[in-house]
Amino acid sequence: MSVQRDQWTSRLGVVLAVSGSAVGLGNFLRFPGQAAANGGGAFLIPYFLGLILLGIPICWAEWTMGRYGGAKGFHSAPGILGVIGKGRWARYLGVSGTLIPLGVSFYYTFIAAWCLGYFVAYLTGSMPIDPSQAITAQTAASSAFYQDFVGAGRNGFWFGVGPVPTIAFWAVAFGINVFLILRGLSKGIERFVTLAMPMMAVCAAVVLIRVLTLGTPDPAVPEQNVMAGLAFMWNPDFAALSNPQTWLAATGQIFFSVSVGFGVIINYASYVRRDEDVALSGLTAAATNEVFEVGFGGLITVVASFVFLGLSGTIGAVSTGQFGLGFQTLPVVFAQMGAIGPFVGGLWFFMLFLAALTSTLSMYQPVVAFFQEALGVDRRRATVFMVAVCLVGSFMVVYYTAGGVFWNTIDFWIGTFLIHIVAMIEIVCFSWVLGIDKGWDELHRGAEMRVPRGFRFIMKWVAPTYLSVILLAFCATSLPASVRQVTQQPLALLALTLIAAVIVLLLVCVRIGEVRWRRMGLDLDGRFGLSAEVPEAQSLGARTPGSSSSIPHTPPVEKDHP
Amino acid sequence: MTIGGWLFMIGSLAFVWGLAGWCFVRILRGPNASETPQASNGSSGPGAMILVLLVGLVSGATPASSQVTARDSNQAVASDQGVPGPLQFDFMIGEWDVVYRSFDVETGELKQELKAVQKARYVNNRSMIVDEWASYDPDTGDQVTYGLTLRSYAEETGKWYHNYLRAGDPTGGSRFNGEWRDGVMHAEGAALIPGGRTLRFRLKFYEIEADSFKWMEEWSIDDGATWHLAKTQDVKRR
Repeated sequence: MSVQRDQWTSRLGVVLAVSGSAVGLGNFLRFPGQAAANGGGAFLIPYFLGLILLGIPICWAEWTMGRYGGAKGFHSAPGILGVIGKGRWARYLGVSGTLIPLGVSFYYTFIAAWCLGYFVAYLTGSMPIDPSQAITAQTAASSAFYQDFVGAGRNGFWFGVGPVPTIAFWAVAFGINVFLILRGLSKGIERFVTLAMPMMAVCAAVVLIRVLTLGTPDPAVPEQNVMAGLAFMWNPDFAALSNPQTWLAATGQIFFSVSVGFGVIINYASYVRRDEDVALSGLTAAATNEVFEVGFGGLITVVASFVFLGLSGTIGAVSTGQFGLGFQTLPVVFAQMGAIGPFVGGLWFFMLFLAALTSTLSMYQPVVAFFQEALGVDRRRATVFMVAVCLVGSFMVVYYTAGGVFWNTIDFWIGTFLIHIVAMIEIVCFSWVLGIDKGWDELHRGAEMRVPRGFRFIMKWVAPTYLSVILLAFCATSLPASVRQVTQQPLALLALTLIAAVIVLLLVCVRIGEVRWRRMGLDLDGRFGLSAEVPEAQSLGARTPGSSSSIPHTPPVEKDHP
Repeated sequence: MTIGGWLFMIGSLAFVWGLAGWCFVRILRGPNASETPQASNGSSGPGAMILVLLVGLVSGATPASSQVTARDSNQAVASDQGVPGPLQFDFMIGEWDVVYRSFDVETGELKQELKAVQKARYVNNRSMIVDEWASYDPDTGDQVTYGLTLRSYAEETGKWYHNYLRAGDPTGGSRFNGEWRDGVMHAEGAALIPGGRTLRFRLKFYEIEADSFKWMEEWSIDDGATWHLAKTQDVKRR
């Protein structure tokens, strides 16, 4: 077995790494759009309920299982779930915990490249939006730039006669990730996130201050002001609460936002020391994510849009989804800010780039850990293997850009549907297979806070039930259309074929690893407790340290005394 | 904005900022903020400082900057050990090709060089490691030596205890113990040798990489005043 000796060098490091994984574009772009479209302030009721009943409990379960599996020498989702789930079925189902970060990374690095490209465009003054033109013309220019940039018009755009240099942004984003992954957990990921997260907070704070001090930029349209923007975002529409879609949207948002079910937390937590707190760390990571989402995301995007584009413009922007809002509407908004606009825009996309990087890093790390563990190779070789797989997947994403069908298909099946499944597997493994009593004790091992006892009930009963309802509702509302898409669109079918190939590859690796782990004497089926619980191991401590034998020492070869 | 809007906005912001502030203050003040020396050398210095300032500003708390960078020496030592005790011998799990050398402890000259194979695996739920070691004649390829070492970590003392037994050894094998310090696994022991004198020996596993490590053993017959190189091993993963 390859040795994974790397560990977090500080608690702050692991907390920021998990937070960085959770904080992504969705915090700044998806959340405000969802909230504004689903009841404004009232949206926060099901949202926070989802956080308390689903997000935080599953988050705690993942942290606890990750640390437990790490103490058994496993760092990948298949290895850890095999231990917790006590058998092969959980180990093979755990493949989905590696498939998700791997599959999502195929397109998320592509999105990181957009952020970098927009940042550079602001830096070089090449954003093609002229604020002296009519808003509609600016919006059209922004939209055209975006469509060109992401190659939405046709396949192979980035490799054709279009703005070929844009592919360099993808290469840079991917290269940074590979470099940091090669540097390792502590020297690469931890160092980067401890710098990137505070920088993101500073960038967000600067943009927030600018947005909140916009006042009424156009006296001719006095109704378009900051207070009206805040009202649009936060005024509660309680009628929305009677619509199941609001609850589904709120829970879905919290679910994706906290990054549970991704296979990331379970990997990151596996490098936490056995007696180190996970309860407070898990809560801190979730709370940090909420600060970026509600504290920054809830005050910036929609408000800025409203101030310059008004009610109808903002409703239109929200309806285009998070990428429409972020990459088409906001550049128009920044253009209205005058001389400071390019600076604010550059800062904004730099922040999004950092957010995307901290997320993509968290996707590559579990994959590298899995290959190390399964194939018994060192980190460098595992990274090379991961890069090879990712290049194939990412190449297809970058090539098949037409209409975004290819990557949207991966996003739906892996980045959305499968996450529900993995979260369900995890909470069932934690509360029912490991057992809520043992799980609860594990959660509190070394804990620096006492989790309210009501969460025992929530983790055992409420979270699985709530998740089942959400999963069923999700299947009922979204699955039929997605299945239809697969049958009707060749690109969607191609994306599913890619996913199937990756699944086969991962299953083979698990099989190889399984044989290796068994030969090494690892407790891959979780049949034993941890060593501290094994009486024989404890009895060894009875021997006096430093005691010496009267027999000459000869390790490891025959004695040849002086 | 309506009163409801204000209430929801301020309530939501207060909740998320308050929760995050409370968490971070507890973490930064907690006993396990535990940044290691490596971390204080720059891995989280500026970032952590900005974070502390942000949290302090928002939550009204005053987490002293010293709590981020300073730690008592005991904690630093504990963190420096990095790898949890039971996992400290993880590096040795697997199969290895070994070049073993023994030296004349008085002249320091190479006495013998052998090729060997080492195989280490966990037993009983990782509570012990069984480490097989066999050396081979460089000319004939015949096995020269075969021995087993059992290694176990004791939580109570934080040390590793080793028992080695060579096949056919009339002395019944030997025992030694030690601990992990600064990325090196140390062990030591003592034995009576002919003449009634005590032989002290110390060994270490060092330069530990994913696919290689080194091992050396030194002897002293003057109660540790002087040490002489006795054996070395260059070990590479098979």
